[in-house]
Amino acid sequence: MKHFTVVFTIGLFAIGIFPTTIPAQDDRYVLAHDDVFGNLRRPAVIFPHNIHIESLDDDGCGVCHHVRDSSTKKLTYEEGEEYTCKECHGRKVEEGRLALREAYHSNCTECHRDKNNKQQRKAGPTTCGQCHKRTKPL
Amino acid sequence: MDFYELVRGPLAWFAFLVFLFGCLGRICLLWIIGKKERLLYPYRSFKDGFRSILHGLIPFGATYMRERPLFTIITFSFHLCVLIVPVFLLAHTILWYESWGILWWNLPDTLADIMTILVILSCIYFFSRRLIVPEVKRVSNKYDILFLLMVLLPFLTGFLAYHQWGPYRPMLILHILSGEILLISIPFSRLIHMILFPFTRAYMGAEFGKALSSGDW
Repeated sequence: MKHFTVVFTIGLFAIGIFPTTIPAQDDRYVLAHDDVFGNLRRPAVIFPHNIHIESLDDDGCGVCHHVRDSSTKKLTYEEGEEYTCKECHGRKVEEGRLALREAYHSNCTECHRDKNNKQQRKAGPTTCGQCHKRTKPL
Repeated sequence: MDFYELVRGPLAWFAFLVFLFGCLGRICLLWIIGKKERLLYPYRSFKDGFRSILHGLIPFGATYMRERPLFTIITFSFHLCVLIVPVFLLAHTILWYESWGILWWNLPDTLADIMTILVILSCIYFFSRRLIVPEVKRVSNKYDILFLLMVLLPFLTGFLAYHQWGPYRPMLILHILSGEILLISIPFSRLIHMILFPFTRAYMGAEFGKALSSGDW
């Protein structure tokens, strides 16, 4: 029985049912959101989360994970309320909230451009095809 | 500032301003010259002028178009695509939004792709026509070929950049640069027909209106 279990497990690895490498932490996310956009017009974006955590150390998580303060109407960071973008931003503009596509483009491209200019080095991509790569995601 | 940011930012501003003020300048210059003109004024006719513009805008609306059906179809589709694709392409509308916060309707990607291919094929057709058709060859010079290449380049590089064929970033920079060179050259070349064609046609229409309404001589 023991031999059978070993052979069976090796067999599962061999035919690819179990992945051969399991990442310690889910670092790279595939941003596609076909549930919001329907058919995607550009390739999905692969988003490395850890690089952003390290780069935004001084600015904090609120750069992306913000919530609107109901009294001041400003975007603030609330620990424990790290929502994904699509939980507030929909396909179209709603109640003054940017549409999801524009929210992504504004946040990502502008931040990359700012950091590129300030740091005089490549902080992140600013062109369409450098995020929307025509390769199979992950 | 890296080269992409330079062509996407300051150089784009420069190109649009030169295009805008260059075209306005050409119209003003033409207006000033026209005011001094005394000989042609007795012959001007708004009716004949408008009729000529209208016939020029309608496919097969003029005799020269009916005599060359293939040329007419290609030239109309070419001009429509050349004007519509750059303004309503998704990627371009995103860039307008990034810069100005305004967003307008955009073309479906497959349609934009087909229209871009039409422009590329039309340029090849016009190029061959200038080399092969005797009456066209006789009136063509090196600048006609140069302007064709200048129109072709932004569409070809844009098509390759969109499909990410070849080195993406250099292709994108070449696409933007070639588009800016094209914009800058419009006011100072025969490409100004984009702006001045109604005046040219109106002038021709007014001049020939008399001949058209007279009997055969």
